[in-house]
Amino acid sequence: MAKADGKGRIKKRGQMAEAWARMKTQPIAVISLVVVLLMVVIAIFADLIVPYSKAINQVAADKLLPPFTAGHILGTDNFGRDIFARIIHGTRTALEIGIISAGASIVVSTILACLCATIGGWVDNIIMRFIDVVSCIPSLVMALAICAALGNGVPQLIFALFFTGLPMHTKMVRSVSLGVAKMDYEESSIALGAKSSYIMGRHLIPNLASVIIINGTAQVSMNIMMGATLGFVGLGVKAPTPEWGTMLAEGLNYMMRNQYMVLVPGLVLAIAALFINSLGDCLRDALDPQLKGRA
Amino acid sequence: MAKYIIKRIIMVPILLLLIAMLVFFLLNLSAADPVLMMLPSQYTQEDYDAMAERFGLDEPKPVQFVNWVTGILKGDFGTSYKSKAPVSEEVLYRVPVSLKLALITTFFMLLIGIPMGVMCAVKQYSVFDNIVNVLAKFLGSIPGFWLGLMLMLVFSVNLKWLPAFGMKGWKSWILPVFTFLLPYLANYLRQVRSAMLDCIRQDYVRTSRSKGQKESTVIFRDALKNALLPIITLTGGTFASMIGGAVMIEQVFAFPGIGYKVLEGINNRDMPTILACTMILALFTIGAQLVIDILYAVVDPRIRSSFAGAKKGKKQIKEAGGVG
Repeated sequence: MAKADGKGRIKKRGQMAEAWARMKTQPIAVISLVVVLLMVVIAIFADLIVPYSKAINQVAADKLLPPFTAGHILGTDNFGRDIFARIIHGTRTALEIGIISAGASIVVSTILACLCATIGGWVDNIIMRFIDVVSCIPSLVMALAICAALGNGVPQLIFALFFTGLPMHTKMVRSVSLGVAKMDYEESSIALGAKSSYIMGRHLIPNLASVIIINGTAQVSMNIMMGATLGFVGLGVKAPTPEWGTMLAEGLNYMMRNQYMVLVPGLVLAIAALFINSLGDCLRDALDPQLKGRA
Repeated sequence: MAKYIIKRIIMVPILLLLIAMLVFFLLNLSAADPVLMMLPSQYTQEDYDAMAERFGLDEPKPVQFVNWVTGILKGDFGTSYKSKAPVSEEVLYRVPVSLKLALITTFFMLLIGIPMGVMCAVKQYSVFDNIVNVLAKFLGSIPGFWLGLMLMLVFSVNLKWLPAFGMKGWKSWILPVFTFLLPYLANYLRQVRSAMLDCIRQDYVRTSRSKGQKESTVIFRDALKNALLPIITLTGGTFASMIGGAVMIEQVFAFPGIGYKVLEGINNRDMPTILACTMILALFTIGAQLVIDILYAVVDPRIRSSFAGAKKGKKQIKEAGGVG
């Protein structure tokens, strides 16, 4: 889409601006974006909404209260902790884990894949064989094993998710990069004597932008779910830290007495999964219109 | 063709060895001393040395690794730190349970997924397609254990129709299979739909229609037959990922499979059990991948012919990234 800028020159909108224009017209995309932004806001301002102490303070008198009791809008859990406060602060934990781990694996795997594509040869071989080996172990089992070895805690969990996220993205970016490498403009740069670092920065990474954004969102949502899954089996974060998966696991033991301990975090987890994924799908449609409606 | 298959099979043990190295390395990142874990709080240096020697933990790490690998070749996965029994006895009998779960689920996935996927593609953007798509997106994005919990809440806690935990006859299989099936079915169906859509848009389908073929012939003979190729890869890939995915389902329903065991091992920090389970799961993943690659080469006439001819064909496949 091009329009004249008054001086007779044609001003072209960038790829991102085009994508944004396409996205704005989709109601689902806008709703998903709003929900996800809301989650981010909740995560950032969690302390202003409800103090952290409320999420970890154990009040023996208030065990397993149902929702809408005075002072506890969503009830309390088996330790008498406020479920609402734990959900709000759990949002922060979940986003922190999801975004940092996905960000790290996207950055590292993009660099690895670009190295494969630009240098090739033995570097490519070593990196790809390593990736092959890693992808033979089911990612959940791998994350479980790493968490088991490193112990509980947010940094350990982030490392486990970072590591398991590497293979898929590296493979995908590498194949896109190899496609770019066959383009005429890249060949002419090489012919003009450009260094591989120049080609990487100038041609590869801009061409990879849409793949990176699409995979990045998918990875964030996958890592949030995987984080909850690990929390559910008792790995991942340390005990009093509020986390959705851990809340679900605790709820499982009291399911017969207070169903809300399972229902509330379950619902929040489902909403998060649904909207982050749907935002990812809309981003993919907007950035890559050829794919629209097919996958 | 035969050469290709042999080459792929030779790769299996090499891959397994590399995986073994990686897993062993990762699990040894732990700072905790397993010997201390097994000893009572009051112990002497002699107790410590005896315990370390009994489990081969007094050797340096590389020697431990070699011992472990040579042990596996003899069918010995080491001794559990927790129960002090041979790991192979505790782990191997669970393999059929997990395998059965994955096979039953795959059967239903094919039975429901292919017809529904084809129907969605044929009637693209119809009400049916849209409803199935939204449902599939939802089911595909939530974690499996969530679905298990919710189904358990409805059918076991509130309606009391089905058992919630453990293994009590055929009724115990319903909820796990259903929980396992839905997310995989959702993704599978969407991918069958997109594979089918790719084929429906091809020229030969239009030609067939313009010749006046019956619509059913066009769909089943011309489109579906060609869509089967990606569907085969997809089925194999899904089966491979199921083997790992079962871990959570087994945990939720306390289902006595290999996934339940690996989690038990993790909770007890029982390295030999974790190592054994991971290796078995990796073996299944590689096996499934091998079968897909071979099937792919057998089914696709393009790949088949390229192996019959010159080396050029082989190079093309490598570049396409289809095999390997």
